[in-house]
Amino acid sequence: MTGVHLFVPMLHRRDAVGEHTLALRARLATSGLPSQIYTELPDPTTADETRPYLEYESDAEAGDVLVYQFATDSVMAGWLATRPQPLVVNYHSFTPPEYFAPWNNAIARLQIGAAQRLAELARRAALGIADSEFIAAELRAAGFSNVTVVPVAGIAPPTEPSQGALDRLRSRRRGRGTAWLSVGRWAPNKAHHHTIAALFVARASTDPGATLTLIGSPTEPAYAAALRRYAAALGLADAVDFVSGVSQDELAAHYRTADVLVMLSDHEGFGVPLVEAMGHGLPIVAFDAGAVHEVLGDAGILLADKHPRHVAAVIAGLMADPGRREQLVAAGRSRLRALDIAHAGNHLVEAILGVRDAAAARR
Amino acid sequence: MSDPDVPGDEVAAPDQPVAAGGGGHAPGSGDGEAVAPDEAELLAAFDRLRPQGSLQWGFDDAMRRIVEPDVSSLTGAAPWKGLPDDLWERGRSALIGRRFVGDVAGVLADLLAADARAVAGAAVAGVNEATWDALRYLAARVELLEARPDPTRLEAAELPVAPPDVGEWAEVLGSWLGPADPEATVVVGESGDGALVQALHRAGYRVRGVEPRGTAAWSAFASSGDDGSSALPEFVIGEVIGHLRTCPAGSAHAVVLAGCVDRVDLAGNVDLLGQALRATRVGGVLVVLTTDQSAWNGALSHPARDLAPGRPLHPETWSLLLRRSGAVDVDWKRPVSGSVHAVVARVER
Repeated sequence: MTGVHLFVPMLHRRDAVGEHTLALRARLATSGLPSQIYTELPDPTTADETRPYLEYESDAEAGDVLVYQFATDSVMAGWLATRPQPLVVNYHSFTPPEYFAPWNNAIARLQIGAAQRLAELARRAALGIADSEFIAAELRAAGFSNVTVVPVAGIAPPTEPSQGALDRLRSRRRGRGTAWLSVGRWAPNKAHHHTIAALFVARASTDPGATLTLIGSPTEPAYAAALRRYAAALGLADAVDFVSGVSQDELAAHYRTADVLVMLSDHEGFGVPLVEAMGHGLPIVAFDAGAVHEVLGDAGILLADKHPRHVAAVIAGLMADPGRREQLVAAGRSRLRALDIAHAGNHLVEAILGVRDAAAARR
Repeated sequence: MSDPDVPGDEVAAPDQPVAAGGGGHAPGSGDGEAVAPDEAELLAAFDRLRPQGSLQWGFDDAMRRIVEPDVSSLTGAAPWKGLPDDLWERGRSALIGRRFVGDVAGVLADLLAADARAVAGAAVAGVNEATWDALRYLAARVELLEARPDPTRLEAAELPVAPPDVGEWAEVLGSWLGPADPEATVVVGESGDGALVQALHRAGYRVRGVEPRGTAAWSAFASSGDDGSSALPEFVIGEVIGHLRTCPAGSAHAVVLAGCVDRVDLAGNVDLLGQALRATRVGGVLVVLTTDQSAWNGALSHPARDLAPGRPLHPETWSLLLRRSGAVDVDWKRPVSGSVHAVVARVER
C-alpha cells in the first residue's frame, strides 16, 4: 500500500524536529495513510520506531510520497535527491555557520554543507514546507519554486504541572527577585550569554534578587561551558540555574513558576518556547530576530535591541506593571488561537496530499 | 507589542568590575543607540571565552577550500552552447559525408577543449583564491601573536650578562687536552674575545671558535693575525648547540663549553652536553667553564635573575652530569683569580 514516508537524520524525543516528525506520523495514521520513519542514524530511545533509510529501496511502492525533515546536513538528503518518488522538504531551518564558527569549525562546516544540500534538494523537491515566513524566504533563496508555510506540528498543548513539580520549584526559589526563564538549546545562535549579561545588570541595578533558569541541552559543549564560566565570572553562579533533561511535567512547572520568558536569540526559525510560554500564561520579552515577530505578534514585548541595560530595564518595567503583564498574557492566549498550532498537522497532511494527487494526475 | 521607550541610561551602571581587555560586542540591530563602554566590556568578557577566533575559522576554511576545492560550482563553467550555426554550411560544402563528419568532429573538439580550459581555469582560480585567503588569515594570526605582550620577556639591556672572563684558564687549558693532533679540531664555544682560541692555537692545536655575537667573533678573528702557521684558527658565527649538531660524531679532539652554559636552561645544558660528548672522539676531552653562581647573581638585578631563561649550574652539578653521561676522570678545578670554574672530563665509550 502506498504511503507518505518520513525521513529524518535522527529521531530524538523532546526535540522540536523529532516531536514534529512523530506528530506528523500520528496525523498521517489518523488519515489512514501508512507512514514509516526512516533515519540515517538510530537514536537508542526511538530505534524501535525507525528503519535505516536505505531499506526504503526495498520498501518503495509506486505512488509513495517522501517527506524529508531538513534541519542539518545529511548524506540521506543526497540519496533522497536521486529517488524518483515525489519529494517534499519540510524545512525547519539550520543555524547559519557564522554562529558556530568561533566555537566549533566542524559544525560550522556541516552547516555550510547543509546550505549546499538545500540547493541540491531544491532542484528535486515538488514542495517546500517552512515553519515560518522567515525561513520560507530561505527556501526560495535556495531555489525552491513551490513553497508553503505551516507551523511546527509537534508542540504539545499546555498541560497542568503536577503539584509536586510546582512545590519543588517554589521551595527552591531564592529571595523575592524576578524569576527569568530562558528555554532553548545551549548553542551560540541562542545568545544565552546576552541574557546572562542582562541579568547581571538587573541584579546590579534594579533587581538584586533576580534569577535566571536556562533550560536546554548543550548542543555545543564549548558554548555551554563558556556560559557557565561567564556566569561564574560575573558572580552569578548562584543566580543562574542550568537545567537539562527536564520532563514535560517539570517544563510546565518551570513555565508556571517563572515571572518572564526571556528570548534573546539571534536566529530563530520558529521559536517553540514562545508558543509554550503563551500556553502557560507567561509574559514574554524577546529580541526581534528571525521568525520571532511572526510567532509573537503582539503577545509579548519585542525588543529592537538587546543591550543588557535595555533588556534589564524593559523587564523591570514589566514587573512593575501588573496590568501590562495581564494584558500580555491575554494577548498570548489570543495569539495562540490565531497560530492554530493544534491544526498544524492537518495543514501539513493537506499540503503533502496535494503533492501526491498532483503526481498521480501526471501519471 | 513593540519595544517600549526605555532609554538604556535610565538604569544605573553596574559597578562590579569585569575582566579588563579589548573588543566589544554590540547585540541587536539597535536604532543608533551606542553601547556604553561598560556594557561593551561586559559582553566582550564573554567573547574572550570563545575557543577559536574568527581568524582561526577563516584560516581553517581557506585551508579546507585548498584541500577540497568546490568542484560542484564548476558545473556549467563553460556551458554547452549547442551546435555552431555554420555547421550545416560546412557539411553542405562537402563533397562526401566523410568530410562533413570530419568538420563536425573538429568543431566539437574545439568546443570541448575550450570548455575544459574554462573549467580548469575556474578550478585553479578557486584554489589560488583560497591560498591567498589562507595566507592572509595566517598573517593576521601571526600579527596578533606577535603583538601579544609577554611580560616575562627580558630586553638585552635588562640582562647584562657579560661573556665570562676565562683568562686564567687560557694558558693551562692545553695541558688538559693531551698532545695536539693537527688532524683533529678543538671546538671552543663560545669563543668570546678569542683568548682561549689564541692560546690553544699557540699551543699547536687546530682550533675552531664558535661565537653567536658577530662583533666578538670578527674581532677575535682580526686579532688572530697570521703567524705563518698552516692552520689558522677558524671562527664560526652561530649558536654553539647548532654548530655541535653539524659536527660529525667523534670528529673533535676536544670541546670547550663556555658562556653558553651560563645562559641556557637545564634542558639546554643537557642538550649541549649530549652534543659535545657525541662530537668528541674517544679519548678526547670535554671542558665546561661555568661561572660561579654567586658572581652571576651579583652581576644581575633581582628581576633579571628571576626572569632569566637560565643560570649557571654549580660545578658539582656538571661533574654529576658528566659522570652520568659516561665521561671519566672528571676533575673540578676551582678558580684562583677569576670567577669561572672548570670541569674537565675524558670521553670514553
